[in-house]
Amino acid sequence: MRKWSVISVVYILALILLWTYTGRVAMENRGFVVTGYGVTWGALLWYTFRLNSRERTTARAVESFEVVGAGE
Amino acid sequence: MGPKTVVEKTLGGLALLAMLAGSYVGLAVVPADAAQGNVQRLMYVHVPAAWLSFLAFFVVFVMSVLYLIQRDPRWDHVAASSAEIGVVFTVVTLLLGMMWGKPTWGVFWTWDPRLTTTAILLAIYVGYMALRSFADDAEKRARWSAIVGVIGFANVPIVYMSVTWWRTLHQPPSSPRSVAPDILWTLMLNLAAFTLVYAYLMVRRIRLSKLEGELEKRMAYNA
Amino acid sequence: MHVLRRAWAIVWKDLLIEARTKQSFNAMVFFAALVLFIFSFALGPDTELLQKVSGGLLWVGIAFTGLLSLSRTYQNEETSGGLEGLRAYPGDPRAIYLGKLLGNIVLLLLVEAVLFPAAGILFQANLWPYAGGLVAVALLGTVGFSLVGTFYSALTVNLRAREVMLPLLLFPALVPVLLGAVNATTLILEGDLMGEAVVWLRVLTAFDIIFFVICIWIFPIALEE
Repeated sequence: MRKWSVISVVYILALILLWTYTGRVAMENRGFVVTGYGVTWGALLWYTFRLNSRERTTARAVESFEVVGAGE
Repeated sequence: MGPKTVVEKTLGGLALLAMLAGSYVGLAVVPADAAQGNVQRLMYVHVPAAWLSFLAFFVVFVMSVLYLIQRDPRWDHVAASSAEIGVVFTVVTLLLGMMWGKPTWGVFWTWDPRLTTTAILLAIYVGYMALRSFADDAEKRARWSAIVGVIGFANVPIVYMSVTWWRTLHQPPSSPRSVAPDILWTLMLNLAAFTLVYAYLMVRRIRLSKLEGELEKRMAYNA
Repeated sequence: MHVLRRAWAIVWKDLLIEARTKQSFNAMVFFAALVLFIFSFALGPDTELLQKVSGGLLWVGIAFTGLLSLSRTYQNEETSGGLEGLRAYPGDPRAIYLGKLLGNIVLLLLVEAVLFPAAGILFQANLWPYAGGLVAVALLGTVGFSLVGTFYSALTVNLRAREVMLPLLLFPALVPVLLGAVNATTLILEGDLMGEAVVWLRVLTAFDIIFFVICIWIFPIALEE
């Protein structure tokens, strides 16, 4: 889905931005901080994306049965 | 498919905005902790994730009890949704704990009571979800998983106490430090953001759960 | 009283079958001994190290062996349709739980009666001076293990992939029992100089009481058609 490719690109850009920013302010242990926030955002976005695609496939499956069971 | 109603869209938008604000403040606005330095910034996502996973499992417990009393499939949908989202938050909590633990304690993993209890919590609810995936009949799945939801949650305090004793018999527990005001409000902001995310995901996941129930019914009808 | 009489009838029936066939007991003892052997091989022949971790080894052995017998809990009813057959028994379903629970406890305790002395010989530890404490730990630990185990094996008996599901549900729930039993056993074997073993016996007792109440309360719901 196009929307989610955009979101993935934005997510990666944000990570790069964060990495440059933490380098600019010379944050110590920046690897751990950036990975931590990256994992949090990544997991929540990924889960939302999974919900989207699961809902889409399930809805499609339900509809396909509607056609079969229409003449009940 | 995406969000449907205005309420849902608003909730999703608010959750996103709050998360962005929370991460921004936690990473760039609030000053670094005096004792721990910048690594402490991980607390602003670690602690809310931990609280929310606990809340999610508490919701599973309450909904399981409600289901066992009333046998209304709605409670089962809510319980199953909350368990799955709770597992996501628990995994995030553990990963963040490792990211925080390595620079502060020098190790990714330590047998700290809270850390250990969280890992066991994850195991309990992964079992809950596995049980659901192996049960074919909707009513039995709801009843059995509600039982596991009750027993699993009732066990949490006992697990926590026994793990604490296991550790403290060997080493003294670390005493909590008092929390500075700007740390506290950043934490509260992130907690609010995570709660909004939980609410939004719940709305989405419950709808999916109902849809799956509907699909199961139609498949049974057509079989 | 009727519940207890019915429960006793189930215990008697199962133990009689077991006494005549010895199908579970022999397999369990052999399996438990093998587990101890494998751990000894894995850890090397260092007797001092083995003595130090013997409490943990014993209880891991007991947990795996117990799992073996738990998955056979409702085996005697297999020909009459497993739980379906048990449901047909008249009266309170709690009697079924109590009966199966007691049967599991007795069987596991019998295995432990062989396993503990065997471990003593294998790890070159003199267990006699600590017999009282060890019996207490074995009793409380076995009751805790069987309480949750008998319950979850009823829940998973009709499930696809029950061999996977039982340990997946059981072991996380048993963390307090394992911690309590292992630590108490280790402390007792070390002479229990600080009197800390009592704390763990209390943990085990609390777990046993709490889960006895919960399991007795919920079992009829688990058994519903």
